[in-house]
Amino acid sequence: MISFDYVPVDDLRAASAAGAHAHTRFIAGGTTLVDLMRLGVERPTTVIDLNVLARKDASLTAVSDLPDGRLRLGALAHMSDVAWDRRVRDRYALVSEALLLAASGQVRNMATIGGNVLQRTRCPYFRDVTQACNKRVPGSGCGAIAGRNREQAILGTSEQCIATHPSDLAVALAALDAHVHVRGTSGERVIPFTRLHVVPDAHPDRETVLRPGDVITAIDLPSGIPARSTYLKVRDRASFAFALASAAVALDVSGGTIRAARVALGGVGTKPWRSPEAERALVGKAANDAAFHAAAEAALAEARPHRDNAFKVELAKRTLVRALTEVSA
Amino acid sequence: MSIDTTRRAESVGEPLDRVDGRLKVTGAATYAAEYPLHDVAHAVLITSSIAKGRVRRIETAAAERVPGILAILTPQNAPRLPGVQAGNTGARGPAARGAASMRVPTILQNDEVHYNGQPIGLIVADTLDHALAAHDVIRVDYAAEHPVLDMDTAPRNPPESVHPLGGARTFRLGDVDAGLGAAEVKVDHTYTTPLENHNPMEVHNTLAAWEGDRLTLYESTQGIFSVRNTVARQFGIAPENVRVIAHFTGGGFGSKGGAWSHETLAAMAAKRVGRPVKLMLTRRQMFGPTGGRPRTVQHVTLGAKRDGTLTAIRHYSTSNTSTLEDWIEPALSQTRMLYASPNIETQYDVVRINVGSPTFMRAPGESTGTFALESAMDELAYALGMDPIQLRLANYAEVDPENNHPWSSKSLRECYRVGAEKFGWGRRNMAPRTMRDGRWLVGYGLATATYPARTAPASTTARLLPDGRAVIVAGTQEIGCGTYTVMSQIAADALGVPPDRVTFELGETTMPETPASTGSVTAASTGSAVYQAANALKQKVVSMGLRPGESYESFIKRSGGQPIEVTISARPGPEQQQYSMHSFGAVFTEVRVDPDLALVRIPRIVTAHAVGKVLNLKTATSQIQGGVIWGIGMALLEETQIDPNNGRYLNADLAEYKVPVNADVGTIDVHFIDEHDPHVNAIGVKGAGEIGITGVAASIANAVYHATGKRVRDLPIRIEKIL
Amino acid sequence: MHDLRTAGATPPFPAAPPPPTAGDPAPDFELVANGTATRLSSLRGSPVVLVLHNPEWDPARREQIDAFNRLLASLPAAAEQRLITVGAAHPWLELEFDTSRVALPVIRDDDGSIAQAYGVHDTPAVFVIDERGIVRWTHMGRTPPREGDIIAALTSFAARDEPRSSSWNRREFIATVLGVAASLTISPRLAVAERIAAASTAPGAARAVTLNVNGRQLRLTLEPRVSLLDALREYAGLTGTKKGCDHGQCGACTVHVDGRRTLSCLTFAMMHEGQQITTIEGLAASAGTSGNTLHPMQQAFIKHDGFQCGYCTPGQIMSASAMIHEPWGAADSDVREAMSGNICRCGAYPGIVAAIQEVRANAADGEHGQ
Repeated sequence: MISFDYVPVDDLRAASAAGAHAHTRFIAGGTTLVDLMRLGVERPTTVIDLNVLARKDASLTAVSDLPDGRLRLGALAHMSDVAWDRRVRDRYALVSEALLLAASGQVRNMATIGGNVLQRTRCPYFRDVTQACNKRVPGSGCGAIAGRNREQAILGTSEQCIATHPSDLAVALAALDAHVHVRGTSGERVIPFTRLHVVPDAHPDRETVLRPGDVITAIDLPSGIPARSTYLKVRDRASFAFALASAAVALDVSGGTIRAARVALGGVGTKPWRSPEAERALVGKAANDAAFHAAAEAALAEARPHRDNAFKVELAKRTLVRALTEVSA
Repeated sequence: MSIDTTRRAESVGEPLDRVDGRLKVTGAATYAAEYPLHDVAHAVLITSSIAKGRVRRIETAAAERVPGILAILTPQNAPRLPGVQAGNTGARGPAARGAASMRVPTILQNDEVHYNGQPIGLIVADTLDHALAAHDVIRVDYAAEHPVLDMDTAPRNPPESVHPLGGARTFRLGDVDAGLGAAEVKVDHTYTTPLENHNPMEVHNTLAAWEGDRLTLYESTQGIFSVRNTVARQFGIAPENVRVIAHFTGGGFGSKGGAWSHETLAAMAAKRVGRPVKLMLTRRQMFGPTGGRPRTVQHVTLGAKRDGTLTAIRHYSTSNTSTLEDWIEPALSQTRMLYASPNIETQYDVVRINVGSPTFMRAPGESTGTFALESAMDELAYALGMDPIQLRLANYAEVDPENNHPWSSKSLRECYRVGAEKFGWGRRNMAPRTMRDGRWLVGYGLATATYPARTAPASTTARLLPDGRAVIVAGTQEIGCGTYTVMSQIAADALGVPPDRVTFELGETTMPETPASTGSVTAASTGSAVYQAANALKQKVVSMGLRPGESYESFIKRSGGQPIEVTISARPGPEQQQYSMHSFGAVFTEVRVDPDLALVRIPRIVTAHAVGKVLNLKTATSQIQGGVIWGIGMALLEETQIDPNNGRYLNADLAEYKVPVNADVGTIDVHFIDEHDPHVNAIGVKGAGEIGITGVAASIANAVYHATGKRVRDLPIRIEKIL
Repeated sequence: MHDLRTAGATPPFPAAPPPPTAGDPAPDFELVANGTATRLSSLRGSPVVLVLHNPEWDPARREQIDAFNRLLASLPAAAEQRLITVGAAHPWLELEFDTSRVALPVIRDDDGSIAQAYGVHDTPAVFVIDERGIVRWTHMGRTPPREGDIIAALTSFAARDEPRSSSWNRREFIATVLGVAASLTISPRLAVAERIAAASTAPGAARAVTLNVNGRQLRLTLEPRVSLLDALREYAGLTGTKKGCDHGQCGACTVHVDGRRTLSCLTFAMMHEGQQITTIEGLAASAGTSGNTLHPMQQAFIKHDGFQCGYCTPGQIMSASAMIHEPWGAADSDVREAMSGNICRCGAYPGIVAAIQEVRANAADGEHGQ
């Protein structure tokens, strides 16, 4: 690991200003950054510790009700605290489930909400500095396309990159139309969650719309979410593994008819994959197998598998059908 | 010779808590790199990023500017070891065997690169972080060549030699073609098992310290003497001048059976910098440099009469090896001895590709071989419409088919019977996809387990202290099997004292020599030596005048107050040549398969094993459970992936190389058949370290077939294979 | 790191005096720490335990480790006790204190003057010196000191009902012993660390970091890139916390930070100043157990054989002992899920689940009973 300056900050404005410099990274839980620094993938010369800030400003770690019925998750709240929060469990089951199905108890105690949605891909070519990777070194090529790609994405891929976005939480947040509060060098702004991440296209090194110095301060969960929601995750191990396919869904069914639907897929997209196609296929239809299968077909219509991951197309469809079946049961 | 049955054993067999338990649960058990030596320097390995070629030059200038750097060893500047002939790299055949000559490039004796991730250098610094910082700026210039990576398209060769574990390259009994011609039912399939890596929790690590020409290695190893001998040979010094210490080893499973490269490199570095050097491999560096299980492609043909009688068994196995040495996965051993058939044929081939050398991995051969054979037997049972247990009983081998020797003991019938009863095998409806629990498809599967019972020469010192306590000393290893505990129990019974009056010491090459803790030999071999040493000590005290009923303490007090000591060497008896010695077992698995998502869950496994005498019910049960969990990993999860283009190990970490986690494991109900083996060794022990994994993968695959109707012949059984 | 040196007389020495025995004044000697001389006599007011070991000291030799372990374990409230050790071979030494392990300052006795003054030749020796500088108890020889004797020696003068020491109660006594040893442990390192910090403006330079580990303030000199795990293992000598993967994928490095289970490999040590860090060495004490008593989770792991090789075990136990305070359900499947961040390659999962369930059941019983 290269040598770096460690800078704890206790002021958001200072953090943002310091973070705008080149070769600078924020650290909160550290579960992504330390991992990648030890691999040589991340090589910051300055690391800005936000934890002092978190201890000083309780709003950054709190889960709080907003007057209009939304729920605000402080960006520096730990995954475990949000996952176990009674309001989250009752009103946003898919968020709680996505968190509890992610990582391990220890990682959830360390990692923060803001850090979680910014975690980097698990693509083995990205994580190994001896390999070609356009995301890590633009223009160096993509080892995964010509190599082993069982775990890679089938949606949102490009000629340059097929790396899967690994976050479970982000899939739930994409389904919910959450909003992200960002503090940057030029003040605060709010970003719809589905616009936070970008697909790789020709620039896989660019993963979000965040700018240097931006600090995520909170994520708002909207009100009026269908009461029945779930996050279903399919993986090789029974626990402590990244998704091969996952589905975050929320359905409002009345009189047997689907009034509203939220659908997002994980483990298959280069970004948390919201599927308006699936939602359109569901709304107004009877909540039955036929509608669920139609939604699954719509969600995966654009899938582009590679040599080893063709199974993900079918697996993602079945995962989505199962999730829809469960929330409508 | 056996334990005196006229006296009720008081400790052996009991589920005694581990005597080293307290040290392990308090963090006080000291593993290799943790010894607090003075002035320790830290080393970091440099590994190759190409799979084949030569190291032209390692650019170290930037690394040398990092503060605290003490030395950077490369193929260019590393000392030439007197015991290594650099010229014969890659040479094959018996003359070139042995780590000292065969893995020359990995100890920097030449510039060849044989696989991606091979050791090609070593950085030594005052702190770990400085060494890592220097590693970060190392640049290597290679002359790269095109590697051979695809086992299926690379040439298949007869191996130069097969490890003694595997028997001869070709074995023929009777006439298999004739037997197949006479068969009424045949099955003929190819089964494959992938590259796997051991991944013990403690990474391979060494702390090397020189004092003049004497070397001490604090080493994470299963074989202190094998490490000593290899390193001594390489450095051209007497084995007595290398002291290897391993009081606790954090798992090995075969990967720590002998020296690889890190021991030698650490010793080289320690000599160069004049300080003790600590080298801990990274998890990634355990993929390649410390061995793994090779991929196997196994072709099994079975012929049978309608009544299930096997007319022929043909089992060919091809496994990969590295380009450094021929190492053959001995996957055919069980096929020569498990079923009574007049016609049996087995044959090994090998494919040399640019990966790290394979090695022993828990039940080398029997784990992979039983997957193929016991899957094929299940297929045959279905082809015959016969219960899988009945098929196996119809071919029960009353003597060893390979050599016609009688068994020293065999209780496999009991294993089937007890296992089936405890499992509820009778509830099984044989047709696939006929049992359900709600949405889940339910499958029951069975396979036979077997592993050889080996006993090797071992020595032990037994000493009676003036306070009546006994100290038993043997240069063996504690790798998790419970060596400290069971040896204390054996000695306690032989001496007629409670186990807490016995202290067992192990893990130093200055102690009496015992075999490496591999091949399930430790309890049998060192246990026999401990038993004989303790008995000899007792007899000595009796011959010196111990009165009936008198305590040792009282005797020593009145006879001079000096400790009394004996050292014995135990050797396996002539029974080894007269009998076939094997453990057996039966593994029953219940799987649940989600028919849509292809999730496989294993709520329970029931085993029944006959392993001779069980020394400690608690630790033996744990050994079997551990083996079964390895089998779960083998069946469902484990596969080392290499990049098809550059040979890089892709999933060289514990997130992507998936071993079972707690949630993957349901109940594992372990039963032992009470088995008295008068021939196997002095204490009637056959060993329990490896048999636990054998048969498990087949049992699970058979259960998955029963649940789903899908026969998976290619491990691991991943979602995409049954979707 | 090697800051404590003696400035003794130059050899040759006259014939050695006999070793001091109980009641004799402890021979004085000088300690030099970064140019500041301290004499043993300046430590009066606090009891001191002085251990001399010979140059052949080898921590790999079982009988020697056993001797020290028994000695250390025999001290009252052993986790809080610290020794001053004097030896020729090692400038600092990591030793186990019951369930904890600490780095001890070793006062180098290169010229043998201290050993000479104490009449020690070729054998380890232990001297318990009371707050007035009087030797109260001695032990010499290769065999371990007898358990209980040293406790008796320490507590006898700590509990004496004399005016001079009537104010000593056991707790204060222990704290004072700790204080003395701690001052020896820390001051020189502190001085070095501060000097480095002051002198260096290089990026990522090492600086003094104070970590509260197992209730003790550890002052370490660390670069920012040093993980909490490496700080514990390589700098503080607390090797009970294990390195299995160094990437947060196995759980072997689990410690408690402010009571929460945390992966020490995925965080920098510097980020944890001011927090309470508990490692396996301090787990029993953190639960309020005393002496040699184990934490209930440690006991349950032994009873249910929740380990084999033992390498993942500290992490399993730290994870388990925190997990039971998290809002999981009661079923075995809850435990399995909650513990899936701790890999055990030996496959001791059934025993681990049984151990945790027993501890949870006992805790529930205890609550109902109250």
